[in-house]
Amino acid sequence: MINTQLFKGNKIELTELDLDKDSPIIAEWTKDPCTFKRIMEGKYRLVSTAAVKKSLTETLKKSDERKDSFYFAVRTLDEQKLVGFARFPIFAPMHQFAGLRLDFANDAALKDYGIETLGLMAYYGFMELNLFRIGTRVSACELEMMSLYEQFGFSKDIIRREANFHYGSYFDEIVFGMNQPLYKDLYTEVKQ
Amino acid sequence: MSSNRFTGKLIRLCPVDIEKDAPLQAKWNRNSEFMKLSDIGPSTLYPVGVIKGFMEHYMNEGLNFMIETLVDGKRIGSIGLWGINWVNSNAWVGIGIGEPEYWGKGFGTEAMQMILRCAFVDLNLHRVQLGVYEYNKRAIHSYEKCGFKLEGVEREFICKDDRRWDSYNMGILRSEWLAIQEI
Repeated sequence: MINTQLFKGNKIELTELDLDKDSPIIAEWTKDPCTFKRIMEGKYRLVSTAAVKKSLTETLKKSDERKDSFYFAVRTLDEQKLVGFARFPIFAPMHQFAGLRLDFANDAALKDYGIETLGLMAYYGFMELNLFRIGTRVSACELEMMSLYEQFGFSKDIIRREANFHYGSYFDEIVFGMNQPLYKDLYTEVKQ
Repeated sequence: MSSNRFTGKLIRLCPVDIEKDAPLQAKWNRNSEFMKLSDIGPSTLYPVGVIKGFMEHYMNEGLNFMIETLVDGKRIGSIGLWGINWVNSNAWVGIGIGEPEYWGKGFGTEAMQMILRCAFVDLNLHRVQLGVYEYNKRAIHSYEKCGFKLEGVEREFICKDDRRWDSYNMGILRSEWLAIQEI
């Protein structure tokens, strides 16, 4: 247990962000409106690398000062290619709760690396940060992302009806959640 | 179009006056039952100066009112729309009745009905949502009377008084609100 690698999987690892190298790549991802809304503030629009770098720099600075959120780059082990961005941007230690957000370069990266990324983040959250609950929100138009959370064992706890507007229509926003006892039942040998 | 949007049968909605209302909020915060009903954070006592800062921040962020009784002009609580997302056309709503003798008597329900009218008629929002803890039965009943529907439960979301409690999410769509208005 003590020698468990928190940040290394079989195909990917979680690392710190390198804002100079990673911002142009993440800026490209924000062309997807759902990804944009998770990473940037304000209305969906095309943003420059400089704008993404500025936004991430401010976010990381606040996170560092308040010590209440955790940001990771997701990189392939072999080539150290940036394929995702994983974080707990919301952290309520009094309630042992954190909000989780995942973004990937594209659907192919989500399929290849999503479950392993989610596994590393869930282990970190439940077993290192001692969270009782991890929650996340996904727009109902993001079928692959919803499937990822369901496959891992998150439950659909809330359906906020017609809460998101994309592509000319209103979509539901789904809030997924997983509590520590279920996580331990599914993924560890440590029983309560 | 002659109705006064901000005056009901029991209460009126008034502008926030930070100098007058921050000390009131500080007084209400001393009631830890009120704090547990209305806030996710730990019950704590902020100085009036800090509360003024919070109020200035929220006034810039959304639509906020104080709730005043018609019969004696007493300020009993506050209500507001926050997190207004104009693209998604929705907002969160929050209410707190700080004077316990006004709990369970319809004052909060009327304030909520009035702010929903603001949201759907004046701001043309598509949806309003709120969160409420499972132990706040009085508020849940009030929200249901206003037309909110339970959309889900975040199980064992918060920890208070040495146990975990669910948090309920409720929402109302503009079409649903229109359907329950008297013609």
